[in-house]
Amino acid sequence: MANLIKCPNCGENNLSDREFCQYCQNPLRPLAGEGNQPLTPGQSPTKKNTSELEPVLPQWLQDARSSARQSAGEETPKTPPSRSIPSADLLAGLRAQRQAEDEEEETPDWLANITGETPKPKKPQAEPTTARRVELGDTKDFAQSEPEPELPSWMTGSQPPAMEPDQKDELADWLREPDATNSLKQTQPFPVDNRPSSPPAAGDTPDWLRSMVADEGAGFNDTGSSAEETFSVSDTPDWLRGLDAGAPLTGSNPPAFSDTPDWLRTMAAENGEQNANPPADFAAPSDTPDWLRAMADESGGQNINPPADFAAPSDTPDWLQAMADESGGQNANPPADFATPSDTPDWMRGLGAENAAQDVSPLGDAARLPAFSESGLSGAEDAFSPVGDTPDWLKDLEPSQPSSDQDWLKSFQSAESEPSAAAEQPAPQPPASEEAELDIPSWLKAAAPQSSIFTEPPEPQEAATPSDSELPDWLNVFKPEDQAAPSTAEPVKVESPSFGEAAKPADSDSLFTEMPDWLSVANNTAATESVPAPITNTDSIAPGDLPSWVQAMRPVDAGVPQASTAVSADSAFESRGALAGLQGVLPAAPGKISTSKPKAYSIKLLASEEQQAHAALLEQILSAETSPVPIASFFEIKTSRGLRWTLAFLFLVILPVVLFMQTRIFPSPTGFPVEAVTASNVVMESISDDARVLVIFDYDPARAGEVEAIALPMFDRVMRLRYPRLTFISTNETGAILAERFIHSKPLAELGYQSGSQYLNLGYLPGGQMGIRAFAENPIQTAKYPFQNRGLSDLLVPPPPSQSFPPLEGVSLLSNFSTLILITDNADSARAWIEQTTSARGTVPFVVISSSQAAPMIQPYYASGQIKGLASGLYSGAFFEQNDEGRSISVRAYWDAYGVGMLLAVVLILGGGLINLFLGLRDRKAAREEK
Amino acid sequence: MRIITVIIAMLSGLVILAGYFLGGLFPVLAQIQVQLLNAAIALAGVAVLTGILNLISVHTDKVRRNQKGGVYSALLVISLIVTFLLGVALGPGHVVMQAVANSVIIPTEAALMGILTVSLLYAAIRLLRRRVDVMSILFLLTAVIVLFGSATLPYMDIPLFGDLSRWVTQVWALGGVRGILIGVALGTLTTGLRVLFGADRPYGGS
Repeated sequence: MANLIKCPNCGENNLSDREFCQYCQNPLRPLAGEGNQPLTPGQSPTKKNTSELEPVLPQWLQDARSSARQSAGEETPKTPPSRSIPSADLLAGLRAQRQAEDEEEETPDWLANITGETPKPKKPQAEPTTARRVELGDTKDFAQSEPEPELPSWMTGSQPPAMEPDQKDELADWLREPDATNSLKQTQPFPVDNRPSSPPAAGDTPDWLRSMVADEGAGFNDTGSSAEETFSVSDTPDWLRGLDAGAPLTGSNPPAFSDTPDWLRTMAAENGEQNANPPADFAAPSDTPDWLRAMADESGGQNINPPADFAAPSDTPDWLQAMADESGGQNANPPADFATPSDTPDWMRGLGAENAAQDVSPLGDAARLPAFSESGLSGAEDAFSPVGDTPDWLKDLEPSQPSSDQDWLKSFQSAESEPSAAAEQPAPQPPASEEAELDIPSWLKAAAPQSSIFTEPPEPQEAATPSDSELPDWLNVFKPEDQAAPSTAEPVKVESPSFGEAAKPADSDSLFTEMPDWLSVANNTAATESVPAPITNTDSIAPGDLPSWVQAMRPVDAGVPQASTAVSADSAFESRGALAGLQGVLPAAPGKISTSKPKAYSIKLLASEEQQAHAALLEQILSAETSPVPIASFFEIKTSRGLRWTLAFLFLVILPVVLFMQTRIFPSPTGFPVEAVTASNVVMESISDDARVLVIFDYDPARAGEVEAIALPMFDRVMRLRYPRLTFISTNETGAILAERFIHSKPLAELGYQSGSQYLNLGYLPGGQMGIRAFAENPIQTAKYPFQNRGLSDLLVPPPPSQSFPPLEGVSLLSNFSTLILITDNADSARAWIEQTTSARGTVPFVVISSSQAAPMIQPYYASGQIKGLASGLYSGAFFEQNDEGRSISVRAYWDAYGVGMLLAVVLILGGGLINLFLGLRDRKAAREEK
Repeated sequence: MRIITVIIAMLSGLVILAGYFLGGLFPVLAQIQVQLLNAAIALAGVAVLTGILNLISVHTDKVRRNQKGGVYSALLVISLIVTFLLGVALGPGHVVMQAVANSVIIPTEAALMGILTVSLLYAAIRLLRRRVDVMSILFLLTAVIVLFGSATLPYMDIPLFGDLSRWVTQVWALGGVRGILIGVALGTLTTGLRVLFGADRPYGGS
């Protein structure tokens, strides 16, 4: 696979040997050279001497120029064929021409040659810049101008209908003429061997010719009817249309003599003597510009007498006639019916003269000349009577020139064999072009023809022979009648194959046998490329040294790109601020940055000894402010291991002994708390027979002894008297098993309560307060399944719902229970149950059995009436035992040990406290004495 | 995502709060409240299981690394697994399970309470040596009075101590506890409002 190169603009891959992207037409490689650098503000273009590069012109062009000069006159100095040049320059000729024009301000060289005036020795004449740029462009340029099946619209000879004279201005026509000439010049090198042998169709005839024929009568259009159908007006560029429209303007409304430039008037005056004598029937002398008349007069001596039937068109410039007369001596007599076309530029006549001088075939001449110029030079004048395009000053001649298009073409054919008597000046540059370079801005000169060429779409490499309708009008004029001999290439192809040897016809001029190498290379390169290269604009020109005026025309980059390139050396990248993201926008000013090594300063403090002493003192003071000061304690309290062992001995020996002895030294209490009495009464009153009682076991196993000692006497009494159905639930993880322990302890075990029938253990209720609230809202749904004694074999069997058991029959709400009894040792648990069930339980009595520790926290709820009874501590248990008819003995069993322990604790606290208070006072006193 | 959690928390709190006050008028609110509470109960149960699994994981890792106290960790894990298997296999009401509770759980925790009694007594004895001030003296006198009021003297009953103890508990203690309960209620209300308003986001929001 061939090497590919990625386009920096569009990213598409292109062949490495390409210079321009075939997709976006941008250069694949950066253009190098000084001329490609944009001009910055304040920078002046580089002066370049490009006149020395004129010898770069193709050899055939140089030969043509030299031969034309030779034929024009002996006075004309020959241009040196070649000159050593330092480098190639595209605009060398232009510069030389400018210099020549500077020398001869009024009379260009070509005019001087035409009129026979002895020109001054000068440098080779330059060609229009635009055309030169195309001809001397890079070989890629020609390769990019690939042939296409259809010719460019502007070259197809599509001519708009003649415009009204009042819609035009003479200045526009004058300006358009050089454009047209330039465009034609661009096509000059190509149509050499592609000239059709058939006579041109009338439809392809340029308007300026057709307009003339239109006035000739029907006989002129007898063969052009079919060709006119292929005529396309829309394809004609405006500038070319304007050019064509200029002809009827001059024919119908001749330009005022005052519009003639002064330089032309001067030229005419100088050439007046050389002009040929006007024909006798020259009917419009007044329309002829003076400068032309002057030229005609100037060259009159050299002109030949026109034929008798030659009706000189009134708009034929005299200088043209002078050219014809000047070359008349060398040419054969023009045909009798020769009618000089009024629109034929004189420089084309010069080509005709050149043809006559060199005695070459008309085809070869036509190859270098535009078709219409050839038609005007080749002897079709006798059958050619320009009426439509003929200016008014030629109108007088028109009636005498009735002819048809066929006649005109026949005359053209005859003119091929007969050398034209027109001017011998090759005149590659028409006078209009010369004049345009003086008056028209350079940008305008370079605009129309060049852009029209480059903006053409790419044409295929190998194009078929165009049809008559595809050929431009001015090329169809030269088309031979014999269509059997097809041309090998299109006449107006801008491609290089036109210069190739393969495309060169057998009857080509010898000029083209000396094809320059650079053109041959271009031909070969273009032929080898299978993919048509895109047409590029002026940027497609290879980089090189541009003239100063071109450099001045280049856009001045004063924006960001210029700034980035101008300060490219400064790679500082702004990372913040308004200029974030820009590089080199704030270049460091040269000279501002010190490059010298910074001076080293000692960091050692230069202070005297006294100052250092003061500083040390200050530092000490400051450090003393922040240093912690230990708190003076009176004495250090040491752990009294003896006291610990004494206490352990007392409680671990005395209390078990008392408990084991079951002494009754301490009498049972006689005074009972009100809340405990109330609780007992509420329970007994609220619980009826076979009532549903909810018992909540929320205490830890550590306090099971105390709590159960309180609850057992009450439950024994109630269960024994009311035989209620109990439902157990707990918010403690061990509550379920403590409930089982409680119900199976004495004296309740004697009652024979069975799980599932007399009592139902719902187990653990998770969630804390949320669980309590949920249970209060819907007890059955929250505790759906009971905590039953189910074995491993029963795990796969779903347990029955809680509501199916007798303890929960008829219970759907919390208020369906007869009484709520909470057994707890935790004040928080008691508070949660009391608060969360207040709205759900309604008027159901709520009784709390708590430990002595939690009783003070629950006491407010009893005082506020939220609970109906509160029994706490062994003191309340002793009350319940007394009311239980002596069945419970748990409280009594513990009461002596409990009493002993309480007394022991009080004694120890009081005795030990006093001793420690004394010891403490002593230690403090000793500490004070020590201080 | 954070705003979604806030919305969920606020809506849940408002619905449950509305269920408290408007549950009778709008049974739907009560039903929604129950459903949300049941979901909370389930999550709490799962949390307990997660805690048990975490306990096993921590102590198992401690045994595997042979760290200090690994023996106790192994004993804890073994006891836990055995108790769990017995409870699943035999059921919580089985005699074996009752024996485990009566022989292990209750005596162990009761012993811890006895140690606490000795410790508190030791602290009370040494209090006046450490700090002799009015509050220390009042603390000890109050404790002595309550202890005397909780029990009887041998062969006699001193009603004075009983009445004095009752006065201390029913007046001073009750007044202080009411103040504490009122503070707890206000704190709970404030916390609930802050959660409802999204000021506090204990569910993960900052």
